[in-house]
This record gives sequence, structure tokens and C-alpha cells, in this order.
Amino acid sequence: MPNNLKKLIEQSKKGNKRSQLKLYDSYCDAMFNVACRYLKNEEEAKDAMQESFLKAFLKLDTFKETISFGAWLKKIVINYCIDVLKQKKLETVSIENIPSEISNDDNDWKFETTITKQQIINAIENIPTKYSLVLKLYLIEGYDHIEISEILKIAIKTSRTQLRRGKLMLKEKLKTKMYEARY
Amino acid sequence: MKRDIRELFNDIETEGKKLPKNHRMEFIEKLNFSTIEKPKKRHLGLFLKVAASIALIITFGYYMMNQKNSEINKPTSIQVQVQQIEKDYLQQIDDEWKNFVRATDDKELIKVYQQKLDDLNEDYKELSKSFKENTNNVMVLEDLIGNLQNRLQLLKDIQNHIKILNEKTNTYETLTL
Repeated sequence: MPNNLKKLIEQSKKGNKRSQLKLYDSYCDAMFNVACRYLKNEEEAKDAMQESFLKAFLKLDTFKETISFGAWLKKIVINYCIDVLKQKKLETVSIENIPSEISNDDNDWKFETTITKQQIINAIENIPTKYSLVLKLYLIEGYDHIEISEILKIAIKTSRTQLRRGKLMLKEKLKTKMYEARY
Repeated sequence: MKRDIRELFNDIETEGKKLPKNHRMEFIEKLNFSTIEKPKKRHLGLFLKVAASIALIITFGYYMMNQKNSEINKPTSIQVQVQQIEKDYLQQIDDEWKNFVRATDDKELIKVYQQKLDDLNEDYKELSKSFKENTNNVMVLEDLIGNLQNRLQLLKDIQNHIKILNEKTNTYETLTL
């Protein structure tokens, strides 16, 4: 970790406002973009991001250098956003809509090369929150099932199941996309 | 052709969502309201200041005794020390003042305390004038430091008071963080 960052964190621990603001300045844009992935309303995302910073400053003592400061912050932001979503209550999905799970390999993430990243992101947005959350945490944030289970407070098994179903839904969505594109 | 989409997201660049212009000001406000006081450190600071001032008075007394005997006159060194202590105190008073203004939105209260501090500051000006005229007077020196300590204590007391009031009103609020 660069020395100046270390210094900023040390001073922020002591409650130094100037250092805290400097940390905010360096990470706010990235963290805002993280929050925007979970909260569609930008005003809401901004608030979540700022509150996460305040929360992070309060528990800076728990920050260990085994991970980067950005990754540590990101987790706080994501956790905060999930809490906001939970307060709004995640929509429930009826079982009928869930595609069957036959021959669904956990490690098979092969999609047509013609499908762009943006298309995938858009498709994820159109999947019920319960599944899109796991998809985002896994695909975009790069968390593993242990981390996802911690963040969403679900069992690892549940996280695996939801990801599998999420992936099927994603494939389904993108299939219609392809179909639409052809005509 | 197929590809693993997990690799697509390996380098997730910032998608370029722009924060609203006033976000920084807003955050500064939030930051100020979430003042995390670290009382232990502050008390230690105050203790050190008091200890330093006592030490200064003792050294000053020692100087006086020496002066009588050997007529060595070193007022500048004392003045430098006083200036340093004065600077530290004023810094701390200023910090406490900012904390206080942050802690309350009662304009009337702020006005009253501003007046109190201004009065003390006027006294202080008088005192430092007489200190310049007569650097050997321990009484004046004690008054000078006492004046600074009063100001600091005044601000600390009112802040404690505000804190107690806030605690009473906040008892039923749950911590949402």
C-alpha cells in the first residue's frame, strides 16, 4: 500500500477530517459507480455511497492490509446498498418462472461473442433482484460464493443455486435479444 | 463462437456515472455532523497543556531567582515559550469553537458564547500588554494562561452540556449505520 494512503488512513482513524475528506475525494467516483450498480436512483446511490464512507471511517480500525483499501470500501458500499434494497423488500419470484436446471454446469459461462458487455449488464438489470444481485456480485464484483453468502446473509448452497438460476435467466434474456436482433 | 463472459468483467472500468456537483459540500456537512469525539486523547492533551504551563511557571520562577543573583536577563526565551503555549491554546480553542458551532444550531447560544470569548480576548489583550512591559511578573503570566484555560473550559463545558441534551433526545433513535 502506498505510504501516503497509509498515512491518510492512520490520520483518518484519529478522526482527522481533512484526511477523511481526502480519502473521500480519491474514492468517491469509483464507489458511486459501485452503488449505481445496485441502486438505480442516482440520488439514492450517492447517499448510500456517502453513508458508506461515514460508516467506513467509524470502523477503520477493522481495516487490515490483507486486501486493498478500495476493495474494503467496496464491500461496505455493497453491503450498504443491499441493506437499502432489503428495506425496500426484494420482490419475490414465483417458481413457475424459474427455468429448469438440467445440465447446467457451474463453470460454463460461455456466451456468444456477439453479445456485448453492455447487453449483459442490461439483461442482468431485467432479471428479478434476487437473482440479479448474485449475478452482479459474482460476475461484476468477482466475489466467490463464500463472500456472496456473507454479503447477502444466505447459505453458500443458496448462493450457488441462485447463481445457477440467475445464469439460466440471463441466457434466456440474451436469447430473445439475439432473436430480436436477427429480425 | 463462444467466450467465457466472466473474463469480460475482469477489468471493470468505472462506467463513468457522474456525481452531482454539490456532492462534496454535502459530504462535508455529513462528515461534520458525524463528529467522532475521542475524549481520552483530548483530555490527555489538556493535561499536557496544564502540566506544560505549570512547568513554565516553575522555570520562570527559577529564572527570576537567577536574575536576582547574576542579573542575567533572558526575556526573549520566556516570551518565545509563552508565544508557543499561547499558539497551542489558541489552536485548541479554535478547534473547540468549531466543534461547538457544529454541535448546535442555536444561533442565540452561539452569540452568547461568542460574546463571552470576545470579552475574555479583550482581557487577554490587556494582560499581554502588561506582560510585555514587565516580563518578570509571575502573576501576569499566570493570569494569561488562566485566561486561555478559561476559554477552553468554557467551550468544553457547553459542549458537554449539548452532548447530554442530545443523548437524552436520541435515546430512542436506533443506530442505522
